Amino acid sequence: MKEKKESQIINAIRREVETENSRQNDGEVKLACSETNCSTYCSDHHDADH
Amino acid sequence: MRKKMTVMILPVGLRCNLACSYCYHSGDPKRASCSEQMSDEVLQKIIVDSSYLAESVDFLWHGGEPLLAGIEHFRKSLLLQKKTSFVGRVRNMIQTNGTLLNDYWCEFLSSNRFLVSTSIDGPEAINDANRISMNGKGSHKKVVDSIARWKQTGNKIGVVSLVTKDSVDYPKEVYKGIIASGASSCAFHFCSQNDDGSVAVLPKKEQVIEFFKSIFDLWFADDNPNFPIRNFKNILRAMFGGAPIECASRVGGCKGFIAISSGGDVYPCHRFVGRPKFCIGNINKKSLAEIYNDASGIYEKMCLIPSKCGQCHLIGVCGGGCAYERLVGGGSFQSVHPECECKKAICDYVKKNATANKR
Repeated sequence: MKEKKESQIINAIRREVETENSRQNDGEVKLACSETNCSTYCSDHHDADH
Repeated sequence: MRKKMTVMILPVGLRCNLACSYCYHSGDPKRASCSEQMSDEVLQKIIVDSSYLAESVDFLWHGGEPLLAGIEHFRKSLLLQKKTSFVGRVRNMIQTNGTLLNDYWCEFLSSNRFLVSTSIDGPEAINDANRISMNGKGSHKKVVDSIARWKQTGNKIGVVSLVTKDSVDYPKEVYKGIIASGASSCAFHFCSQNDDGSVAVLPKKEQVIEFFKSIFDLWFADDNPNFPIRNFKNILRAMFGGAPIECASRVGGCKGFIAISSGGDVYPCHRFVGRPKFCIGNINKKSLAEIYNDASGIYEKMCLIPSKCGQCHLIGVCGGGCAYERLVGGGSFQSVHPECECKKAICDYVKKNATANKR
């Protein structure tokens, strides 16, 4: 039987949330991606800004 | 002092070079005014006062069309930011309609690390049905050129796309049109009713639900994690215990925002600019921190979700919805969001169809 391929979208979002949660648990400031109001996704800029 | 705050600055107030038919400021006579511009004194007060308001500040330049303020206005702002002591980090974001984003602006915004977002509703025919200049000319070509120009600087660009009666029956065309525009990410907004009920492009709820289902299917089939769609990302993040990205989807999200118009009038959010009833002060008379603290009652009202929402299984995804839209759509902040049923149907669809892929 052909193995079902895992969704890359799902995996990326799960990793993003896990990273945020682990950073918060370590006492670090949570990523700022929840603070934007327009479509300037902070999450697109994690590498550059965090 | 708050940890973080988004300070929304409208340097030209509601002034805009476009005349989009669905703009929530379309009924405001100031929108077409060609003289509204923030003074250096007001700009300085905003930057300095913001450093006492929060440790880290995101300056979100909004409008109207903020680029109409001219590059010198932004240069002064950056100089003031450098001279002012902030406890935490400072970032600049701009929401532009994309029609004025030439090479000069791109070089300036990129070299100063602005995060840029624009608006496009899909392919040319759909976009230009509503996003038009004062003389009725479509904006699509200019916006697509601007997206390409901005991406040449090595930066990403998000787009906001409004779902109207002109686009709702064409999800495939809209999705492909946005991908073809070169956008790096997208957020679909529900077309909301204006105060005077003047919006003529509102789609029917059933159409909106089918639109979002189709868009999700297309996006999920493409499976490109480098092109997030915020509406679905919010839902999927909640599935893994994450918080929604946008203010309107988080209970209490309003508290992280304050908006200042060109003359120094302060509002809880840019959506209220031009509505005197919701003006919470003027920066020429009081400090921004004082205005914010004195307005805590209004913020509390905005953040108090309807009791029905508190019992909803989707509260962690929806947060009760945008307070402004609850007010305009239902008559009070305590009204259930006008798109509640749509949101529920979309959330349930996304959860059901993504669950098979959840580890």
